[in-house]
Amino acid sequence: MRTALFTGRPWKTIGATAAAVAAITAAVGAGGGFGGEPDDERAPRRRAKNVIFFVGDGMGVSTVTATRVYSVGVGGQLVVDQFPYTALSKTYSADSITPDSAPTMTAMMTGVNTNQSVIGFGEGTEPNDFNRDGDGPAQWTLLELAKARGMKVGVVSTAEITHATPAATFAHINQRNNQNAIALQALPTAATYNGRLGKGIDVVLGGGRRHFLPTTVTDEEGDRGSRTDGRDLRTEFQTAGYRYVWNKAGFDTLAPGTGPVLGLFERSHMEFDYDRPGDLGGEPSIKDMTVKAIQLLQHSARRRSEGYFLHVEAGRIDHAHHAGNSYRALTDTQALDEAIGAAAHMVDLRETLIIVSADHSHVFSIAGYPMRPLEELPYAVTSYSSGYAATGQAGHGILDVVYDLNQTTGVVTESADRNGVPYSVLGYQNGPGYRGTARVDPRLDAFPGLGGVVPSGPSHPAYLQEAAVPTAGAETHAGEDVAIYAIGPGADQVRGTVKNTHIFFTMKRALGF
Amino acid sequence: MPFLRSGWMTLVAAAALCASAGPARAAQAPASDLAVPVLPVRKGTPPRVRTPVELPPGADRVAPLTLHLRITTRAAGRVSERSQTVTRTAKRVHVASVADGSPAHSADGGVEWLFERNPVDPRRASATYVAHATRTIVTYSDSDLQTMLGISGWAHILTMGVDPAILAGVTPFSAPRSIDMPDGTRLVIERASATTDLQLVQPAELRFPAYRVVTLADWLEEH
Repeated sequence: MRTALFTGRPWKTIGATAAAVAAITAAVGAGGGFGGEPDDERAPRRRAKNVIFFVGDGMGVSTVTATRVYSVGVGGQLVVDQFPYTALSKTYSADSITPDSAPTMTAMMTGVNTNQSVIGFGEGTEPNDFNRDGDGPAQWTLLELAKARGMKVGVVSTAEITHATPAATFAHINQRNNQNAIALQALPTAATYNGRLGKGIDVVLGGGRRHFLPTTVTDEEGDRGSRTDGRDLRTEFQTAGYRYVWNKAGFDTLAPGTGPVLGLFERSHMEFDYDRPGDLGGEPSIKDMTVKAIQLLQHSARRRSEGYFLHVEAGRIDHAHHAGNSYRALTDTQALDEAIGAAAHMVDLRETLIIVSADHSHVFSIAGYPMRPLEELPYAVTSYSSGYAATGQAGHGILDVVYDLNQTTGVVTESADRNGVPYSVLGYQNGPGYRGTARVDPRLDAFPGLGGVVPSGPSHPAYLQEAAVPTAGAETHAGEDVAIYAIGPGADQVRGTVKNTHIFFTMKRALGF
Repeated sequence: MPFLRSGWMTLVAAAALCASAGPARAAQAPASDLAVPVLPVRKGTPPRVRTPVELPPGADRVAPLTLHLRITTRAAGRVSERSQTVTRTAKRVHVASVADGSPAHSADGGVEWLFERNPVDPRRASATYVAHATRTIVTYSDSDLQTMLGISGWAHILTMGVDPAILAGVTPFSAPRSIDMPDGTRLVIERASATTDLQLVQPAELRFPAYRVVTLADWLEEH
């Protein structure tokens, strides 16, 4: 997708950069996107040198809550729980109540809402341009604005780096699935390069190697590429000055001062965090990548005193939910929280704004009135079912069936459906976990889970939580609001119930754009 | 502030913002706003370390073979039967459903699988699932095969989940024989042939270049 804005005008001087930013800001204002909503009129109290923007793909509020219980206990605190500012974010896209990742990340990165599957354009652009009326103007992303100001920029994802969420930081296209074309928009020597990226994105770490290799070429881990144009972008990126790495060993050699970096650690999406130790080539964790990206950007930015913008996506929370497997959704969310914690400890929070949010939610719920584990109760109970004593080992009760207290007798037993059959705490409104006509006790359920394994109960990593509606394939996104968490300069703008575009304006204003 | 939305005033205002650009310390921020979060002690299960299954002896020397199978499964009191052809080489295995005695192809909306041995680590595998009705190729990584389908690498594929010793006895033109699987599935090898259609074991992306290629994760998201 080539637009007039991409035609080879990289900003080569500071003066030109300042002029360009002024023009950009003016254009956004004239379009009515900036200052168009009351919440955008809030004046920031201070400004940030750096911004780190974490996105948990599909990380709805119920996912965060369930992960908290699983990871640190119901009364514990995740790292994001400790952020001083929070808000609710409305995620609807221009054409749908429940969005996909393309319009939501576009909204968060450009301040402009758009349509399903569209990246980096406004609502006048239809998916695939099906009306054949051409695409509208390419919107400016925060990463592009940062680059135009001479800041260093980085993109990290556990999904394919050309997938909708990371792609919306640097690409403009009317169909998110055209990932081979998206890869070219990040290649400085490509004809369709996004010239707004100047000399290029400084740090690119994630999966999706297939979009950088031809179908006829086998990569370092023995898998073929997906490019039908015969181009090997690994080589082309290196020719353009990038250092390319593909495994943990190469990743570990990356040191500040090595120049722009392209790390592609998997043919497709990176492994779920739970499965990561079994990867052929060895993969860094999302925490590893976050720490490395900050180190590289801090070093580069320090020389120019202009700061950096870093986007980090935990892309596989979404995939685990789609598969109906809560276990991997929670473990990947935990991994994201660890990455956020590492970042918060590395940076100076007086000059670095950290924002965490999600692009959308999932039809994932925490059901019934599950008791906290026996050892956490503030009182003694009269008696309890045998399974209740062990619920502390089942993710502090979140990965178990529901146990409830009879407040008259003091007896704790399994909560049951109207047929007397227990049910699990976690479940989905739809998806592959649909059991059919006859429910059975989840602890005795022979319903095959991931990999055809018959799990030994709802705390098993292969367990598929029950679903109410038998969709043809996967579990779906959900349309409720998601949370925003913020700390650092400008974080105080994160409050109330806002459209997700507010995240863009918060980051933009914090940076003083 | 409507004046901000029009013309040169906006430009001037924006330029003024830019002129003052530069990091400013948050000296006036309440200390509690900037308290560095405490890293919690995690109580979750650590990730698993999965070791690929070793290959049976002679796995890299298996002779090309085409098997015509009838598979009978019993689930929830129902019996179902289907026919498949399996084209097996040392590096690839193609599986296609058979309708009306002939293999599925693009015209009848059938499905095909192509499993491939990983050239770097031969214990691992990948696969493509071809859905002709939607002209889509879905790619499965080694991890996808293990996690979603329970296929534990190339050894599992090469032996079709059957004891290698049993399969070793299957030679071209041998008489039909039945294999009963632990899960109650009956596998009847009706015919075995040393003749293989090598076109079938070409990568799906090359056989069907007009088809859309998606990852399993994206396929799930769309369905």
